[in-house]
Amino acid sequence: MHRTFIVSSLAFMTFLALVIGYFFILPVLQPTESHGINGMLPKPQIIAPFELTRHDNQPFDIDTFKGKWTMLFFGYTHCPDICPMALSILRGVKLGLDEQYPQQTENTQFIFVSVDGKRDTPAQLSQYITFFHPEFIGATGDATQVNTLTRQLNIVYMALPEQDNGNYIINHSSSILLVSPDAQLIGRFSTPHDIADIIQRYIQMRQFIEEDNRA
Amino acid sequence: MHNLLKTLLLTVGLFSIQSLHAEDVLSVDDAWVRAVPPSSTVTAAYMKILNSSDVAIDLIGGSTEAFKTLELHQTVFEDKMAKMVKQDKITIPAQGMTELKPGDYHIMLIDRQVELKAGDSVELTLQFSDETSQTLNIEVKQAEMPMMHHHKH
Repeated sequence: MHRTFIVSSLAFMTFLALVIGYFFILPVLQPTESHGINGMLPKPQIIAPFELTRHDNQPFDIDTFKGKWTMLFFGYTHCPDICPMALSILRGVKLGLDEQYPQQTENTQFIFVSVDGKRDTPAQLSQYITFFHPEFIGATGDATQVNTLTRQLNIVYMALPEQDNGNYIINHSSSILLVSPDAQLIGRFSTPHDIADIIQRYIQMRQFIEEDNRA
Repeated sequence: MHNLLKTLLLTVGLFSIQSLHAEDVLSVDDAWVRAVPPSSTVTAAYMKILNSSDVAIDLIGGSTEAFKTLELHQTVFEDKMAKMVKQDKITIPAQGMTELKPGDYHIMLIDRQVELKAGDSVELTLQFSDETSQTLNIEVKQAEMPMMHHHKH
């Protein structure tokens, strides 16, 4: 009698766990099906520690992400087309957020990471990045330091051979990445970039994660 | 003397036809040079080039005193990267238009020689495959916003 009770209790609890798992836990583990937001990762990806230097010589590391939503872009200051374009887009996103989403803009930061540590010193970056917006942050480091971050974020870049005039071009990923305040990669905005579209999807992704965290 | 005059007139005549041809066949709209930070030595020029003739014409190069080097490029998106691909020419199709725009065809301006800020202008000469050239005064702009409409050249 006692034994039957235990067995049936176990069976019931297993059944209950399956039901809970199916209806409540599974959707959380696989938000792909529920969020439906273009560019948002199926599940957040934890970012491992890295060490870079900001344009103002402060450290840029995992703690820089804490407490703020971050839009990240990778490039280099000698970039003629895609980097100034992306940074102008991000300037538009920043101004748009200021205007339409004052609450969200307060804890949103924009970081441009150079993949050209050879030429992009903090001083060079400082002049470059603040041109696009005084609050934008630039970050740089040697190749090993940069790769610690780029490899885990699936950002690729490749320097082309130096030309006669000493200039060289670097081909690189052009996606804008979204990182959450707990240092997790949330989304990837790929080209072509549109200011209004990025603002809209950023707000959606953010709301989704924030609601998810409350639940 | 009479012959010389005839030759002279003919030469002048041909010359006017030639320049008239250049004016009529190709026109440039919405040209702008991207304003970049004072520390930057490279930037790009963008524009729409219209060809009203019945044959395709190529943009083959150009020059400006504001930059040491001018190259034709296209940004292409492949292998997860934005790649800069140098072009020997940019074709403007017969009775058509080619747009040089961010993230696509552009004129790369390398090794800046003068200070440039938004509102300044850059004098730029474009060379075409039909042996014509056009000199434009292009405004330097910062915005990524929709472009203002420029007068035609």
